[in-house]
Amino acid sequence: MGDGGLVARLREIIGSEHVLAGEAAVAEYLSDAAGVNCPPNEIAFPDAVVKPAGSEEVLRIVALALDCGIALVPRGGGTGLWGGATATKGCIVVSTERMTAGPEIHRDDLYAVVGPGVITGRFRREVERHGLFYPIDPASEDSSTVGGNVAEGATGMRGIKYGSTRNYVLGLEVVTPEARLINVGARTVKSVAGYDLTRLLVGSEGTLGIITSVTLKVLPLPQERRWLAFGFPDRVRAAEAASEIVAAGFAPSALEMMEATLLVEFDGPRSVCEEEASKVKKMLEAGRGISVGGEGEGEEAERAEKVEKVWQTRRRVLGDLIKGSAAVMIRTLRVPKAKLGVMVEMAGGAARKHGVGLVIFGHVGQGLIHAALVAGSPDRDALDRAAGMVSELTGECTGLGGAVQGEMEIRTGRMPAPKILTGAVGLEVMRKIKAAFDPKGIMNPGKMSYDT
Amino acid sequence: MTREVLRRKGLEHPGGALPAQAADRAGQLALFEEPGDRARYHTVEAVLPEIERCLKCGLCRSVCPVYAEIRDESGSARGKIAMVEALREAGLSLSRTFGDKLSQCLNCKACMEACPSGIKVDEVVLAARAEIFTRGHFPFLKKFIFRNLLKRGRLLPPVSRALALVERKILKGLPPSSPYRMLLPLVKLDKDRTLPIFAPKTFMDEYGEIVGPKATPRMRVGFFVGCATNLIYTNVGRAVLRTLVGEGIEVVIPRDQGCCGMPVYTSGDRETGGALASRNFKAFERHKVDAIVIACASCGAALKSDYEKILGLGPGGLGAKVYDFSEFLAKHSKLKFGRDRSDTVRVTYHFPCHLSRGQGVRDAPRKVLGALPQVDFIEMVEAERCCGGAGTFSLSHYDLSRGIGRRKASYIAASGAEVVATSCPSCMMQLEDMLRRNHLPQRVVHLAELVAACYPPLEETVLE
Repeated sequence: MGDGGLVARLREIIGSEHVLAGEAAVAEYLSDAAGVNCPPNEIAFPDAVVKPAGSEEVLRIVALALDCGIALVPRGGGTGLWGGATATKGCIVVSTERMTAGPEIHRDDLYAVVGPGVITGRFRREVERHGLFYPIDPASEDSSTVGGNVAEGATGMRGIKYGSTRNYVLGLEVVTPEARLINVGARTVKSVAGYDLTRLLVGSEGTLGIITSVTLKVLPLPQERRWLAFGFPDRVRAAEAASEIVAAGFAPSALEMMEATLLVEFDGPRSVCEEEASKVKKMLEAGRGISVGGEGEGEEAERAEKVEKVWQTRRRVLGDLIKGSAAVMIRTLRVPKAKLGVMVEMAGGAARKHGVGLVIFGHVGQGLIHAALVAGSPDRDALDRAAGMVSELTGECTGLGGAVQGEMEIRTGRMPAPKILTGAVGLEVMRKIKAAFDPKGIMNPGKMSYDT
Repeated sequence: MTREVLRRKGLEHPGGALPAQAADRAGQLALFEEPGDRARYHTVEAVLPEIERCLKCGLCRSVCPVYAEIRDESGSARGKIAMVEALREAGLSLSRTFGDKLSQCLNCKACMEACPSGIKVDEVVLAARAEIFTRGHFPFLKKFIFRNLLKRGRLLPPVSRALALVERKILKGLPPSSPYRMLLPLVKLDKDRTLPIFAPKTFMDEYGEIVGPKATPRMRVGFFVGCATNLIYTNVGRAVLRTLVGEGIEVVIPRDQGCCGMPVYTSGDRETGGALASRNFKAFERHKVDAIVIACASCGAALKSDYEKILGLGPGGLGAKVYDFSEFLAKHSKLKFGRDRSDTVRVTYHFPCHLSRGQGVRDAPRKVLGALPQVDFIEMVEAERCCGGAGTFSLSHYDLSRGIGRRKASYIAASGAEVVATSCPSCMMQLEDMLRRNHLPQRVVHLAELVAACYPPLEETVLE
């Protein structure tokens, strides 16, 4: 398609070294992590990939796009699983790789201002060097960006205690699809003038504008963090134990499950951590749990290393699953926390019935279970059986008062279903809001789940 | 291509059986096939199952030294994999741009360590380069040097001696202030870079084929010298001999060994690479040795693993007997050097990528340095991060190489060491250049040179 005039004008705006054009030059920017599973039927090459340095340049790029009627696809780390940063035919991919200003840390007022292209993990570590704490730690934190996390409403393991990105965005600077610059939110926790546009924009998947600056709330760094790991005779018992922890009123900062193992993290003042840890240990050991790295297993450093190994296995489980299987279908189930054991038992039964391999892991403390259906070979029969199990699983989950929160497909050849859980009327309202922001429909068209 | 042609081209398997050959589509030749694990990937087509496992998680980006400099997706493994995918699935054509981007890889293997899917990125990138080469997109001069200089082998010493003559007598070692530096850009060299000085006589010309101790030797090892040690850092070769002979070991330096081939096959020329490898196999086969010792991490990685997994040559027999110098010492020497620490020097160690990640050798250098009485060993931050030299990479991508090297130089300075030791002449060249360019005082030595100082001079121990 190669629009020479467009590329020349882009080069004028940001300099030719920051504009990539031509198929060979843009090949790495075709898709985000969603493209892994199911290469789009029609691979679309963008007309150009641009890397602006700040809001000035972004404004001019959006104005140009409006002028030419060309779609824009914002891109952060390219690690999203929903196709938000996948290029469409004849679009301009706007990469935030160069918008890495800051972080500007305001210790006493507990906020930081940072460019959208800053890698989340890097931001988190920088903030910790100042004795502060940004608790959103998605698994992708070393390659995803703050802006991308905001656009997707990312969460991490600490959601049980600390919530998600949504709870930490105080303000945003955004270039709208009409090429106007707006500042939403504030630098304080409370600010109630007008509609809460900040929260609307969080999770908007790049369909309402391009984020050019992010103001994030940060917390004081907890004094201490304690990690525990427990093995159980089977995963149903592990899931039940998770429910028991929640019911007993413990407030861990992370509560994770991986098959028959539970991982618990406490943070806060040292004495509180120690006390909570020892109480939980007592409770779980009475309930057939075996403590990893418990007393009598060697020096403290050795024991800590054993616990750390279990945590690492949890972090790597997705990669390991993929390495070991031909195809993986994951359903994220939101389950009432009291019913975790029941759900896991039902899932196990369904897996046996349909003859499908099943691995269970997830942020059980947040009521989230990933049921990973694994196939040793990607043949039609195996995938059909897995699909059969999935419908049974979905039914059981809703029966318990839960819902399928998300999907992930790896080499099954199916695209994940859209994630909107609201009804038809809600969708209608969303379409109107989108039209209000983006009358010409240039901002990441076709991406918001309601577009399907 | 017939088996006859393969035999004539010196690609015969040393074990006697010829590898099967198969013509691939569009005239690409799959050099080796079967059995089992060897040489899976010669073409882009072949690597598709490997790259299928890429999750696009981007963790490779967080450790890639190239990405850290250029901040462009093509710098990372994920980007390169995306390009290769586009080649097959989106009808992208092999172009100059494609080749250029593929060349922006140090083969440092940091991405492989970070990858949760365990993708063999080195094999993917090298396979793509091999395909580009077989399609004829390759700089003429490079091809000429590979095929006529490195392959012929015998031409190297005279060329090297001529260069040494020019460097020492005419250019007077090219000090920083020399007016001759203005000529360097004519041969595409940066005028301020510190250049290695070729030795007036090659290492192998200085010594015979067998160098042994006066007393009855307890072992017999082969020494794979490598081009850099043979032509430039002959003192490293001497240090290896001094150590091994001092340990009561007889050293065999087969005369017909040559270039290990790494610069050749990593550029994509597997045919010449295979020829070089075969020649080395033959050179060592003739001698019965207990082990083969190497003092260059890249040569080590080539012999230990690349010959098999990239060039499809085996068996692993040669690989199983090969040791890095530090590895060999850690295993076969008592490392008892006395405790005299009156005059110590602060030494830090840079891990060549091809030693730590390429060969899995991490403990041996630390163990050896820790045993040396004159050394006060200090760890540096990110000791395993690539220095940016990567062989010919620093010639073809000097600016990028400098950017990467600057960070390493700052870590060396931050360690508080006076000396940085390493186990690869290519790293030595790069570290030397980077330290000088960043006005840092630290000296660069090969680990073997520090070790050799603990043994009597060769003249005293060697059997004439």
